[in-house]
Amino acid sequence: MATIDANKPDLPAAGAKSHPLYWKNRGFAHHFRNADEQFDACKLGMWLFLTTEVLLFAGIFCAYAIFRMLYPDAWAAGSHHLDWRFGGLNTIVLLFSSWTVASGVRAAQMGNNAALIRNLVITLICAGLFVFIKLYFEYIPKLSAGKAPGTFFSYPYAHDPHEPLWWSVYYIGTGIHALHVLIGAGLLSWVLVRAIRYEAYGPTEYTMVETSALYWHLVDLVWIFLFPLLYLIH
Amino acid sequence: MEHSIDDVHIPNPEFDPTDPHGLGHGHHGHHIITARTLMTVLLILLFFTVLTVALSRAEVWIQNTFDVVLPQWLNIIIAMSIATVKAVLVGAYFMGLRFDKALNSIIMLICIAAVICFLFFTSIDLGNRGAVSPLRATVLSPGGTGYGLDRTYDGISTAASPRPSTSGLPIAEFRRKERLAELAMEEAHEHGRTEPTEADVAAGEAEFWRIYYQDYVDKGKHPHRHEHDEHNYFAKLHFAHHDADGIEPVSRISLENVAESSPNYSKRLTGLTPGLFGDGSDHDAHGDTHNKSPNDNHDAAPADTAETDPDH
Repeated sequence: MATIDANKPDLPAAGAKSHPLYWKNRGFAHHFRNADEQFDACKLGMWLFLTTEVLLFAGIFCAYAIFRMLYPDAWAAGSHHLDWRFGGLNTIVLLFSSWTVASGVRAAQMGNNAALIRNLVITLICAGLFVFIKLYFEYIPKLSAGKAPGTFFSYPYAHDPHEPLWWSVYYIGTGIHALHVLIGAGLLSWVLVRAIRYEAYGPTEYTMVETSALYWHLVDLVWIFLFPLLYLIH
Repeated sequence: MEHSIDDVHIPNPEFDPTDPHGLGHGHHGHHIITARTLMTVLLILLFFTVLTVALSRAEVWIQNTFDVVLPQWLNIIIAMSIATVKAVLVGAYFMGLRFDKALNSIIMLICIAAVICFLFFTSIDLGNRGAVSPLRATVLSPGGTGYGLDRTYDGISTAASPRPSTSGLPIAEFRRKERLAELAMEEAHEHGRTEPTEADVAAGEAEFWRIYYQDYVDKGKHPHRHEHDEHNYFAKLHFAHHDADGIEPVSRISLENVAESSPNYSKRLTGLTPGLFGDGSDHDAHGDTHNKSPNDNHDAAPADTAETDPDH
């Protein structure tokens, strides 16, 4: 077994599979014993990063809990302004996209590049659909009605004087989550381009698919909690 | 065995210099989850999504149909339990923790334990500072005041508000009054007047409350039970839009009494930093004697004072 220097790859005879990013041409860094060890180290690093993401959202959940305890009426009134149908639809969209991404990882493990590309494309469509529903059916109508966060609040038919605070938590929570959806979609697009252009992922080389998928699943996990907290609990 | 320094080294063809201890040969491979498992997990997740929505709708339906108010914790416990089950499924199968090295799961579990500590200690702090030191306990204006968003310091507004001031009113109240004035003016313009008359103001108010309760109806709430609705603070101030004598005067609804709307009002939460909320004024005009706060004790009976504030 020998390592392959990414800068001086052991290229096979010139051809479609000659690119250094083609999965069979990939090696591992010299300080790892083998590709598996490198894969495990990468994944461990990704999990460590995901814990910091969980802690980021924990701050928002904590704000939600504290303000809910202080102003239960405002939270109940605010929740009534959200339509569970859009929240539920977005939950289904994200769960479905989590499934396609998990299937994409499986496809890469099986060496099925076409299935990987197909699953990634569906996932990206779901990401776009999520953001579209969020903006077009939720953010834009609410903001134009004056249901804006904090000091920008101008909705005249508020049922509680603390509704501006509810909207602050709502927009910060869902806004940071939507930002994560966009970042996750960006990562998966990168994976998709490399899969299409170089056939970069296969049974021995799919670290990037796996870590991007983990990020996407985290986005799904956060929404699993945001959805009932914001839309279902009155 | 005799060896000389210039013995020729004969390489072992089995020896791998990148793996001198042969650790890499136990190639364990990666677990590939079957497509069937993934599909099953997706279907279970979708089922739980439908279930949590259905239970939430059922709660609303029960409240409206039988005119009962279910306890809020019921809703929270059910929704959070289902969300936790869903999260475990996503983590175990979609993220592959079940088939992964235990280290990854341990790291995430430690993180979640940290989050639970974070939430728990912040939550118990909120209402219990008085238990630690009575001096630190103060009245927390129940339900808050909503004030303070356009305070100025040395004449410089600290708010990024698009509006320069709300005249010291909470934003929600300010906007309500603004809208009432707008509707009265629209009513006046419809009748070719430049200034709204008393009739225009009344018509504007009627329009306002029509929209106010229409919004309620659109949200699936029963339009005629708002007096019993614990979430409607106007209702709790005894406002009813269908009083026998027609439209209620808006002046009856004042944000000064908004504290009464909070379910915690009777409990009189104590705990936040003194002076942060409320001005310490006496809200006991309506005969609530059981909820004396430390701030009210200046004119309270000595026994009462000794009970809550040892400094006196």
